[in-house]
Amino acid sequence: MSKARILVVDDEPDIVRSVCMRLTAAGYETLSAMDSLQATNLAIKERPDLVILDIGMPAGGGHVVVERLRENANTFATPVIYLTARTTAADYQKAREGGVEKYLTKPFDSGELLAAVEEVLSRVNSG
Amino acid sequence: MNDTDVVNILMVDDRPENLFALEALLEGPEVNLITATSGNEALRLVLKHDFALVLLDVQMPEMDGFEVAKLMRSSKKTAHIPIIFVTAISKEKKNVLKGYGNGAVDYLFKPIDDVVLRSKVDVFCNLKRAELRQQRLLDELTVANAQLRELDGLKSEFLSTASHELRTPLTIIREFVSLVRDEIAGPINEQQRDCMDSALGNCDRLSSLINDLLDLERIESGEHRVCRRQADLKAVLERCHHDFLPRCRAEGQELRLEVPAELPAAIFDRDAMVQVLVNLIGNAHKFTPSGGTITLRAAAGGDTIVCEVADTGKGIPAKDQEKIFDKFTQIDRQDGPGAKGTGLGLSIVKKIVDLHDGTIAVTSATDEGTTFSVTLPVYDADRQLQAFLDDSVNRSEGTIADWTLLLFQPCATTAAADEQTAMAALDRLEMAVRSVLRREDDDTLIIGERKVLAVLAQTDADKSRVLLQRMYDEYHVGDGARCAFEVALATTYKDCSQKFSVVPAEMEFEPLAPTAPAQPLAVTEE
Repeated sequence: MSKARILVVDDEPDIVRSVCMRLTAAGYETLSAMDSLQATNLAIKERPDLVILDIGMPAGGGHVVVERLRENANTFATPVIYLTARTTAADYQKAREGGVEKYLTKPFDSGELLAAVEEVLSRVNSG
Repeated sequence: MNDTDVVNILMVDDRPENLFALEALLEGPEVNLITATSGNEALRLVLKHDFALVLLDVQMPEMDGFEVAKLMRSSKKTAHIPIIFVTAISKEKKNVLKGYGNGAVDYLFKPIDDVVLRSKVDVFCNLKRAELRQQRLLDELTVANAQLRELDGLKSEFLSTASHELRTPLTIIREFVSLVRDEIAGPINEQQRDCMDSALGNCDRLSSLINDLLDLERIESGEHRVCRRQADLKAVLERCHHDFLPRCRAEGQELRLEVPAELPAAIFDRDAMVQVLVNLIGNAHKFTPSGGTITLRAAAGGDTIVCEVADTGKGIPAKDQEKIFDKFTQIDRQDGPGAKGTGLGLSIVKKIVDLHDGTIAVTSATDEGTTFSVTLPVYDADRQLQAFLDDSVNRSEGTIADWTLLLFQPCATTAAADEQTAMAALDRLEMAVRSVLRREDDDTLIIGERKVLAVLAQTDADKSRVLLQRMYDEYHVGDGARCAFEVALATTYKDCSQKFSVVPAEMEFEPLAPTAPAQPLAVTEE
């Protein structure tokens, strides 16, 4: 099986960079985007195996990205992991409604992130 | 303010010469004398201005003094103004009594003794001045209070934004350090790995400080709501024991669980109580040396359940025991494992216990150990309903007693039998709420559409949806889906959409046997 491709989305370039480094070292291929629009377009065009997504971003934020992905034939089933500093009940609710697979909070543990990625990908591949 | 306030005195007499005489007698820089020659004029004036005193003639054409006094007493705005009747004619005892009966503070006969009148008038002027001063202070306090409230709101907002903003750079630092530590950016030596581990440990410490600050802020601003329910403390203790056992064993500590086989149910928020226990056990773990023992205990005692976390650590000096629940207090007990804390844990614990109407106490002896005891109310249906109502208005100011409640019961419009059942359930809830709040004869607890305050939606989804629809149409409470599982509590229609709570299906609210209205809490003194 070829390497899984993961789209990493965050408006903080350093978060994108560090997460990508971590994923690359673990053997994944990465794509990155820094805002909601770019993320949506890239996901629809490149059809990554997984999207790691921040919630608090300019131009709509993570929830809007998830909504757009679900509306598109290319990405309606693409698994999403939230990686965010936001922890309000409304955010959890949105995540559930959008079918987000995992909700990780910042600051995160890289081991936890890798475990979540692995789990989600294996679930998708087996299902 | 040191200046003496100028106060108004109203003099009422149909004969101008009498008014001139009074004016001459009472004139002074600290009083403002206003005259009226008829009852009607006097009433107009008292409604318009604020008077320290009214000197009122009894015999006047059209409306006599008694009538004026009576009308003044009947209006809220003028009822408090002191009245002195002054008369040359109506001196019989029955008139005097009638004067007092109409609310006079004094009844004087002409000719008036100048000194007596002046000193009486002075008394009332000074009273008025005192009242004005008090009012001024009250106004100042009200303004100051509003400012403080605003500042408090700004503080909360600042803290929440700041914590949030702190997290992002902290996340980045932590992640890059761990990339280096994990040799993803190239190989490192043992010493470098050690340095990276220290950096990571302190990132985690900063991160828990931020979390604790946010937690505390949420509790203090009332945003952190507890949902107290009938719950099993034994199960919570068993789970904590299970979770902490490996950690304690690793440090050579014994972790004991001493809970009786039968423990009555208590009322608490499960997640919040887990947070309390994790904090207390975590502390015990940190401050107990290897070979020591940590004991989790619970016991029922009448109306309460006491739950204890006891350690055999170094103990907390008596002088520090009072301070430990204060923010940022850290007692030096460096004889156990574990990292330094944030100094916020116990103040969070205390606040959570307070939200449970519980108490927390500490006993400690040097070199023997420390015991924290948390006392929680034992479950009973009334107490549970009270807790539920209190939690529901927890975010607002005031207590449930200040609220008007509207209780709803969803009912299927299709089946009359269902509607009857639903209405019976609503009746039971209403009786229970009235009994718990002791508002039996109180019309402010309304069932009806005037004010939407509490909506009872039982968990039957289909029925709830009917209610929702009706609520949406009739009460404009907004998002129907939310109402389905929640009980609304609010003071106005507009607030309603924000104040929902649900009466859980398992909650019992059987009414007490219909008894006499609840007794006021009588204090008997021997």
